[in-house]
Amino acid sequence: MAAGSGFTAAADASITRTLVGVTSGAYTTPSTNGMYAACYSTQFTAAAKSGATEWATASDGSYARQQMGVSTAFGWSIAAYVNSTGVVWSNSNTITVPAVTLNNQTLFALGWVDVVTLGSGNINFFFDLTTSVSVNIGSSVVLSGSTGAVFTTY
Amino acid sequence: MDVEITNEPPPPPRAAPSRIRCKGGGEIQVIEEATGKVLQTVQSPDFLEVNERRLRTEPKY
Repeated sequence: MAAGSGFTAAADASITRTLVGVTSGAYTTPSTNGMYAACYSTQFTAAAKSGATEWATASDGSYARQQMGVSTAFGWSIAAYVNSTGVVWSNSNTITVPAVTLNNQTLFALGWVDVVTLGSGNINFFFDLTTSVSVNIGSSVVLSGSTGAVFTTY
Repeated sequence: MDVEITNEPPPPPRAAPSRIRCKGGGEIQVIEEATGKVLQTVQSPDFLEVNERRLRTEPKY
């Protein structure tokens, strides 16, 4: 399947409803802790922009969603709008997912969720990889500051 | 019934509707925790484009 990126289908719908003032199904601003990075073993895909399978503690005992930051911008550097480019936002801090335990994992997409609890919350944006990456026991997924996650809204 | 045929030019194409668009990507490293060795570095398909946009818009000091 084609790799995709950007807002999830659910975020497309909720943000649109918020913009036009519809409260039912409107976007829910993340809690006081901002967004969390999450690892997925399948793609979201360019078309559906949903449905990826998140890693689970039953398979990787150390797995946990990672908070992006605690400052006012919650770990994101957000540039001003620029003509023909849009608004660029990237991770301010290095994000390290704890080293894998129990079973080797497959990474095929990264997503950002509005709560830390696995199985809960809204996935707001994501990017797929072209091919999956093996993350074996004892290895960590690391997103370096500024380049680990870069998005543009335009 | 007479039908008048004219050679008026076709109407201009309608502007594409505005929509929310978002694109993202990243460079991911897989690092062996015990040694700190970088085992693999992977870039998502849209990374080069969005990172170029980041470099273009970040403040210059």
